[in-house]
Amino acid sequence: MTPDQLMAPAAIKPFEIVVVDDSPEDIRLIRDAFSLWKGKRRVQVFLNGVEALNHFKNCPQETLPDLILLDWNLPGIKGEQVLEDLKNDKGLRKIPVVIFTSSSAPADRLRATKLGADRFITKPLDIDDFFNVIAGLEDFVNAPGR
Amino acid sequence: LRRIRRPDRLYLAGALFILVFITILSFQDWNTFGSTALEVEQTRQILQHTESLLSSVKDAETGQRGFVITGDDQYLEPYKSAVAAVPSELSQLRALSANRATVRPRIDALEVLVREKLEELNDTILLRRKQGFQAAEEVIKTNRGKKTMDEIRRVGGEIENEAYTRLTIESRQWQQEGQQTQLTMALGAGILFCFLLLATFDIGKAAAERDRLIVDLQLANARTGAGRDLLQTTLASIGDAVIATDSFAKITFLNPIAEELTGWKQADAAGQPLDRVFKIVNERTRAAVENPATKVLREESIVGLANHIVLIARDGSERPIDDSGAPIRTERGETIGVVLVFRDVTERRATENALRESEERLRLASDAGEIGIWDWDVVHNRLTWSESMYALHGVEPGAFPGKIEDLTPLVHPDDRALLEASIQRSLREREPHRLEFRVVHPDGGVRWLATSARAHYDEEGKPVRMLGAVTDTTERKKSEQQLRLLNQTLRRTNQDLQQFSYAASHDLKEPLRTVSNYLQLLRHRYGGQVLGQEALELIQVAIAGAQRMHALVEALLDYSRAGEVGASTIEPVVVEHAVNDALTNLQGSIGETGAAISIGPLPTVTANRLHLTQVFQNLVSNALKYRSEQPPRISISASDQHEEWQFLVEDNGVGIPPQYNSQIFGIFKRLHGKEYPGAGIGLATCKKIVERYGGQIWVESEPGKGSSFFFTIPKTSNIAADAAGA
Repeated sequence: MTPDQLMAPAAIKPFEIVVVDDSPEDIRLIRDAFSLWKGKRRVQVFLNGVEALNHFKNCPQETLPDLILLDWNLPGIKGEQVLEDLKNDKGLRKIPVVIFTSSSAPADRLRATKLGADRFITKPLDIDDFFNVIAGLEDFVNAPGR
Repeated sequence: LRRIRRPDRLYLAGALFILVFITILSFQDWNTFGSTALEVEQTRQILQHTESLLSSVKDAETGQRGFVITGDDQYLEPYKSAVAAVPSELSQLRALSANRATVRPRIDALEVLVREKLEELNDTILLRRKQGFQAAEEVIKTNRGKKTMDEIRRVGGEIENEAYTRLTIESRQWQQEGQQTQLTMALGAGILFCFLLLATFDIGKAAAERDRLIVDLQLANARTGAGRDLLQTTLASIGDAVIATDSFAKITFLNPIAEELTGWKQADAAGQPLDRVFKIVNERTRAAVENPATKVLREESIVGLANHIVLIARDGSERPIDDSGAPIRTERGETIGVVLVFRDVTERRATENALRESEERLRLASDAGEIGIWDWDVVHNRLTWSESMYALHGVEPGAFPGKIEDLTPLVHPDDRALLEASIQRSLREREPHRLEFRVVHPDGGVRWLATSARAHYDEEGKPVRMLGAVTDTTERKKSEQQLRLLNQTLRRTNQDLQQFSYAASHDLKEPLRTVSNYLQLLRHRYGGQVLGQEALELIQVAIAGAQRMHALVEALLDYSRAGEVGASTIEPVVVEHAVNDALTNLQGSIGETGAAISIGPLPTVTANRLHLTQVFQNLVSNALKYRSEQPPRISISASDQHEEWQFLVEDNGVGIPPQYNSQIFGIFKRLHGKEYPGAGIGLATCKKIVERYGGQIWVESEPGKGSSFFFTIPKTSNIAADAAGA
């Protein structure tokens, strides 16, 4: 990552990432992990589903996120509900949603897949895996056809 | 029967009378007519003979004159024949006038005159002959002869006149009499004809009626015959015994049942006095009971038999009977016999005894306060209670007023409408009235009562009676409530447990992961510069501990989740798909170990796909984990065992000593030490899932050669029903 790349022209819009997670410890790790991304990005965090949904529904079209990292077990409305609302909204449906959760329950995975989640990733126990998974998302979102 | 109408004899008698009358009348008329005719004839003959006499006298005179004048004897011929005829004429006349008073004297007079004339003629003739013409002429000139002749003519004319007159009268009378006879006969014939006509008509009518009556009679006969046959058949086939007697109490008829009960055959019994065949005594006293036929004949009314009567059959066997006798009466009300109807009541007696015993038991049960009986006369609204009902309802014995509405104040206010509705519904819909309701005792205690009742209806379908039983179900109700409470608690506990599992999955795992993640981060960032070797080792131990605990929590979670289903997730599953899911999940370790996995043909089963995935994943994972030095070779296959599918996961791993074959499916049972990582819960989870489907799991193994894990899944599983009922 060169200074030139960091000082990219303002015209280049940063990659908008929204993280919905209630765990500050994980948020720190997630932020650290996203810092490994090569491209320009902006990570915005919401601690619960209601605030996240409010944001999505009220923000201007151009500031809509390019990727949502959604925890499954949220206080208040659950990740499942947030996912369902997103996928039921014409304007938001196309945003890739990655479920990033502690749950390894097959039922949760199945449910998320059914509702239209793009990935279901259990938060790894191993810190290297943790970073690698987040870093790997850059390739995932930039993959041809997306 | 109608009296046969006879042709009215009056008509025939009338006709006969008229006939006799006419005959007599005609006979009389005829007689009269005949006698009149004789009179007429007589008169006519008198007339004729008178004329003939006069004519003869004239002939005689003419002949005399001719002789006198001529002297020729030739002229005497008429004279002679006339003189010869005169006597007979006279005698005829005399005879004819014998009974005629008016004619007789004239005839006599005429006779005298005729004799006188004839004498005169004779005298003159003699004179002429002897003395000649002159002498005779002299005599003639005396006119004595002429005078006599005139006299004769006068008397003859008188006779003739009278005869003529009489003849006129008589012939008129004769004619009248003829007409009268004719009239009488015509009238009589007319009346006779009328009578005969009436009689004929009547006879015709009577004949027609007779014909009709004959037909009626034949019909009536046929009917009576049919009726008798029907009656005979009815009596013969009736379920009760029937004996008929005549008015002297002698048997005339026994039906087969009566034959059976008395032991007498109809042929033997007929004509026997009733008490010989129908021997009855009092069951207890053995005293003879009065012959019911005699009693019926005496009292001329229906009599019932006294209770406890035993009939002694011909063979001496005895059986209790029940009977009644009735007089057989004709239409006119004369008693012509007796009919006895009786039946064997042995069975009924037994039933009655059984009923009495059962009533006794019921009464005992009732008295013991277990069951209350109530009987509601719907028509008169009288509710009768058995003794125990008072205790059940908390009412002083005998203090219940006895109307259905008196029940209301005893019932818990919340249940009153329910009770009434149930009774009404039962009466209306002819369904049993079954209800559990509460009553409030005077001490304020609430008791549960269960009632079960059924209504009885009259022929018009109106409810007349309702009979019911009541039991106190308070204790049962309490137990039920306790059970329900326990069930609720259990369900809640289960839910809590599940929530705990879920909490464990996230709320316990998260901090462990955080510990693990951050320890690793610490080692990562400061490992090389700040921390010494020992510190790194300590961090490593802490990380391993956290990860191990994480794994245990994860395993426990898996186990608790195993077999957990929602009804909707049971569906036909292509087993191969589930196997592929499992292999995908194990992709990492498969790659690491270089395992070769072969999959045989697999069926489709009704199950939860995740369950199958988990079972296969655990078994393959085990095979990979407990591999020998050789690269693992794993084969997955299935076989059809009719009722179930049997699956096999075979490996070439280290194998399991036989003594552990069953142990390994226990929770946290691990055969190996730390050299094989794992929580020791995988096979337990498999067992839990397979058994949830009603299947079995077992292992066949030879240490050092490999293991074969078998499990079965029934083709028709009851898990769906269980899940739905859970």
